[in-house]
Amino acid sequence: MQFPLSFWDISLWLAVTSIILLITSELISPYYGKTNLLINKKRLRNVALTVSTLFLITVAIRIATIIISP
Amino acid sequence: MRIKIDFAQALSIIMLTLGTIALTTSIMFISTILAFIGLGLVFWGVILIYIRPEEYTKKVLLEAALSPSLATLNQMIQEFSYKGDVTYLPPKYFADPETTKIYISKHKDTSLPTPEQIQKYENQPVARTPQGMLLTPPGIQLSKLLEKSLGTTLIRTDLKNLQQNLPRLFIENLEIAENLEIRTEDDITKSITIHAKITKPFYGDTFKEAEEPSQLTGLIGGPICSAIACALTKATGKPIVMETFQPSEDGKIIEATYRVLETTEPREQTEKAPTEAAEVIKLHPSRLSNVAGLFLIALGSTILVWVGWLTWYDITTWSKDLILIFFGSRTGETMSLGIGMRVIYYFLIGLALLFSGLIMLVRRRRRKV
Repeated sequence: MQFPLSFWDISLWLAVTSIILLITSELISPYYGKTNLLINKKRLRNVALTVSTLFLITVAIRIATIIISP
Repeated sequence: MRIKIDFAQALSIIMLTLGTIALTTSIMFISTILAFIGLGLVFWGVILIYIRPEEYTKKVLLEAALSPSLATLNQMIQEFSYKGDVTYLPPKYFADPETTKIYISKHKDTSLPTPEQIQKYENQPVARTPQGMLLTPPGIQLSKLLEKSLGTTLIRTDLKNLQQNLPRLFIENLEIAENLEIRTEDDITKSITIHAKITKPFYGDTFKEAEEPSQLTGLIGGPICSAIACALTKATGKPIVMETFQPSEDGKIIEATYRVLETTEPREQTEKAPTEAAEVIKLHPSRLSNVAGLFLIALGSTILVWVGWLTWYDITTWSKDLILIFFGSRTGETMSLGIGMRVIYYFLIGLALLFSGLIMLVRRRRRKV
């Protein structure tokens, strides 16, 4: 038994999820007048930023692996 | 007993359960598709629980509960037959440094009482002094909420900082208005007038400031306008008079004008605030730019160090000249990344990142100065 997703699969999943979250977070921002949506927008934005950062870290690891490997 | 089911909560639990089942199955049967489905369901299940809002009250209930208190306040002022000026007093008038109150003088054009006179009546919610009366402003709790969101007391800020941060608090943090513009205006007599334009305020329909006693000079204001007045008096440290209140025809835009009293002190003092306080207020945007600047510098420096090391290695080991090292093709080597990257490109990227970071930091420091 092993987890079927590789590191790069997770990276892809993080990329897609972060795009969805970032766009959603931007579209429902109170700056565009969306003050009647009953969700915690600050938390959603924090999650979006965290997932995006995680994706960028995987990208950095990928680049580092390519450069460092002989 | 009837059990009330929260739709969002039920959906989250279902997603979490299905996600966990899908993940377990994917591990057992080594299925990538099932793993993706499971991961997505678990993630969105958790997110749905995490982003659930805090407790909300229906607007009509809030209106029904709050409207009578302002009406009572107005009736009380009319009953006492006060015909003077309405002034928001700053905390320096009180023993408690966090207090702000409204002072209504008995007659027009009378001077404000001294802090010593005021302090005798400070702890009474509605205090009648020989020359006037003291009231707790309707927006005092809202102004305290603003302070809580800001993470510091408004006394430790100044007008400029308030002008920058209040819109963010109104729009983003508390979501009590769609937009807030604050504009200051200095006239020849050295008094400062502050214009506030509130778009779609939450309490817009609830409180009609026009219903306030007409014999008074100045206004008390509804919770939002009163909270702005409290914030202004705390930030400037001077008494504030709310001069005008003008809602638009559809009630979606409210414009209010405030005047800062007692401006005999030099302007520098009015706008001066403790540096420490300014730091606290500006933390949110500037700390982010600081971190971003440092990150760019670190990344740029790392790339430049790597380029330097590579150059040194090529010169000492392979006796290459600089032109060949920087402009020579690296096809077949990992550093070309399959897109024909050369050392010069890395060098330029490193320089660009380093300078971008430096510019960000320098600009922030200049703004601070």
